[in-house]
Amino acid sequence: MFFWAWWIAWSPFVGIFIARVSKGRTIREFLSGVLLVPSIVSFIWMTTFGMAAIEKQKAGAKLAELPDPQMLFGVFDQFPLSLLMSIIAMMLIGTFFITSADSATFVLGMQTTYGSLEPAKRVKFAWGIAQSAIAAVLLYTGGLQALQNALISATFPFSIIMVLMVYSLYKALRKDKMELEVSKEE
Amino acid sequence: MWGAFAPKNLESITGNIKSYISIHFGWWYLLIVSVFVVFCLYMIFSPYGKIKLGKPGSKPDYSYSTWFAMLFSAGMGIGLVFYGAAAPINQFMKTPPTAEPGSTAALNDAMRITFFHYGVHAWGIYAIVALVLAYFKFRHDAPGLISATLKPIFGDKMDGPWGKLIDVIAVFATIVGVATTLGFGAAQINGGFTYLAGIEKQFWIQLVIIVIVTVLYMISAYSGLSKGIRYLSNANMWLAIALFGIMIVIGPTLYIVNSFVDTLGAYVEKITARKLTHFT
Repeated sequence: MFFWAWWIAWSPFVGIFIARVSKGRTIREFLSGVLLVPSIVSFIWMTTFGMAAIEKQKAGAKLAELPDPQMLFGVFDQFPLSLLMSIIAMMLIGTFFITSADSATFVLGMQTTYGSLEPAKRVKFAWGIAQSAIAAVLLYTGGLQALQNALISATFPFSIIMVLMVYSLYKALRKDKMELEVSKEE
Repeated sequence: MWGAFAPKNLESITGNIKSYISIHFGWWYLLIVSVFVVFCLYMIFSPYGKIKLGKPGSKPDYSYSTWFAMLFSAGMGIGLVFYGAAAPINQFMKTPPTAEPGSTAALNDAMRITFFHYGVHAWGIYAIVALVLAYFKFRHDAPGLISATLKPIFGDKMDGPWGKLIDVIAVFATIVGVATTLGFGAAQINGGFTYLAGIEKQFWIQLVIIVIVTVLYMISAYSGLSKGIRYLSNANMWLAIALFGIMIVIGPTLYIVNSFVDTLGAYVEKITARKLTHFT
């Protein structure tokens, strides 16, 4: 259950961003693209690193004892080229990190300027500083766990909102389709 | 604020609410994620699939490769690097549902559960939120807010306090989600330093990491969506492909390929058989 709550918790952030970059795609293209391609890529990725780790674990390496943030580096250590892989992994975490923070700044800017597609630079700037400050304070006080619990709890009402969103979409689509059939615009 | 100054107090209260929901409403989450996947599949194959998320005749903003790179960077990103090895091995050694930890049965379960957690159900959740927003925003010129998507049901009531509440929940979720992501990222980079250079996990190191990253992403944010995030997302893809390429060649290639084929087969079979309870 915990997993689903997490994905729901991230869905306003990720969903708003995905919506923004998907303008001009058809619904079919959009859903096949968002559902299938990233899933397959995730599967390939998880199998590769997961099985490499499991094989070494079975061969006697004590990988499962490492804390999660060190696990990947522990796996690399069991292979040749471990330094190269570790450096690439660090760069990758860095660029992923910057991308997430950047898209979050954008999403927060968008949400607080009545859904503008190009939030003003000073709004993004303010959110950028604020989110890093919040993250730093939470890391320092250990308050992150409490807020995560609160977030997981908030997914329950949000899951009901999601069901309503689906119904709302369906309602609007039916109306849209009737209009299309009348005017044959596409 | 409360969380920042009295973390332990708030942690126990919110922890209790969280466990209450997970014990009593686990079925609800499983039900809705399955319904979302079915709805997405229905939309793909129905005539509605032809409708454009934009005005008739408009073209997509980004090429396929850039679009996928952006989807992926936003949707999984750090989580995939963080849990790429950790999720399967934790399922295998620490928390297999029924099998003996470390056994072949546990291995099969570990990969199957990992696929389930990172597969179409996860992306279906993102897809639903994104689809509904994009449809109303780009086709009906609604503001890009969650509250605006509910107008066909509730009408102008969404301009009042209820609509505000919904948008505030979305902003709250984004802030906490990002704080979590930044926390994961800082911990993982710190973990890398620990492993490579013996530098222990310390708050000030994580703080320095956050400050450096903040400067970098502000530069990126300042340059706008079509430059900063676009270049970064493509850089992510190349780095990920490089790392994957090295691992698949020097790692246990056959073992990986066999496991992939087996697990994918089991995954497709299970989700089409609708026996979702087999997964959790």
